[in-house]
Amino acid sequence: MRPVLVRIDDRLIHGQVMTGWLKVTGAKKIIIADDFVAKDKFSLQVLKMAAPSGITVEALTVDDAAKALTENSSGDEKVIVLCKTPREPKRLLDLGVQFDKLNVGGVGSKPGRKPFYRNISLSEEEISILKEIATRGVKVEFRIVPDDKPFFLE
Amino acid sequence: MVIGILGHGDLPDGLLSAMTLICGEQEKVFAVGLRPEESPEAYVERVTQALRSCGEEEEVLFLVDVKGGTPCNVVARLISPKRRCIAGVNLPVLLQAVMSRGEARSVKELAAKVVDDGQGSIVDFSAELEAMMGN
Repeated sequence: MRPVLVRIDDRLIHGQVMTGWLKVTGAKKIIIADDFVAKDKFSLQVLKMAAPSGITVEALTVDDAAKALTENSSGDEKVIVLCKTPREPKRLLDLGVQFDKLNVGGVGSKPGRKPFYRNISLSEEEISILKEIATRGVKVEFRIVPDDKPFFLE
Repeated sequence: MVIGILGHGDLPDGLLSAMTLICGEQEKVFAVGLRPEESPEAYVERVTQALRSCGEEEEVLFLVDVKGGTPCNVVARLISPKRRCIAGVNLPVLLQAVMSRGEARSVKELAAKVVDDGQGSIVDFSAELEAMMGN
C-alpha cells in the first residue's frame, strides 16, 4: 500500500471531487485518517455512499492509519489518504509514514480560522503546522480539483 | 409538511426563487445553500436553525442537489422517520413536492411519489420533437 495522495479536506468524500482525484491517481482505495470518523459507523456509512462504486473506503484512527501505511509500505496498492485538518498528516509524518506531497483541498471557515487561499480557511496554528510539514521535505500544495493550478506553500 | 431545499452555492435559493415564480409564495419551504468557504459543521448548524424555525413537530422532506455531495452527507445526520431526504432535486421535482404535499398522508408517501414522478423529468426534448414532427 502506498499513498498516491495525502489530502486535507474537511468534507472528506464528496461526489465528483473525489471521482476526479481517483481518476488521476488511479487509486481504488481511500483511507480516512481521523480519530472521530474511525469510531463513528454512521459517518463512515454516509461517506461510503458518497464514494464512487468499486472504491474501498476505510476509516482508521491516525495511529492505525500510520500502522497500516508503514507496515504494508512495500505493497503496490495505490491509496488516497484523507484528513480533515493539518494535524492528522503531521501525526502521520511523526509516526513514520512517508509522503512527499500534501494536498490541501478544502478547509471550511469557522471561529478561529481566516481565509487563507481561495475558499480555504486556516487558523494560525494550522498554518504553522503546514509550514513545519513543508520544512520536513513535504511539498504542501493548495489545489481543490486535479485541473487546478497548484499553489505551493513556502 | 416542510420542504427543505439543500445544495451547493446559490442553487437552493435559485430553485426556491424559480418555484415561487411558478407557484407563488409558499409557506414552510426553506432553502439553505452551502457557501463556498463554509465548513460542514457551520452548514449543518444553519440547516438545524432553519428546521427549528419551522417547528419541531413537522414532517420534513429534504431535497438535496447531489447524492454524495456535502449537503447530502451532512443532512444524513438529521434524517429520521419524520424527516426524509431525496437526492437529485431539480425544478420539476421541487414543483411536484410542493404541489403534492397537501395530499400525501406521510412524508414517506410524498417522497415515494416525488421520486417516482421525477424519473421522467429529464428527457431528450429534441428527440421528442423530432418524433412528433416525423408523424
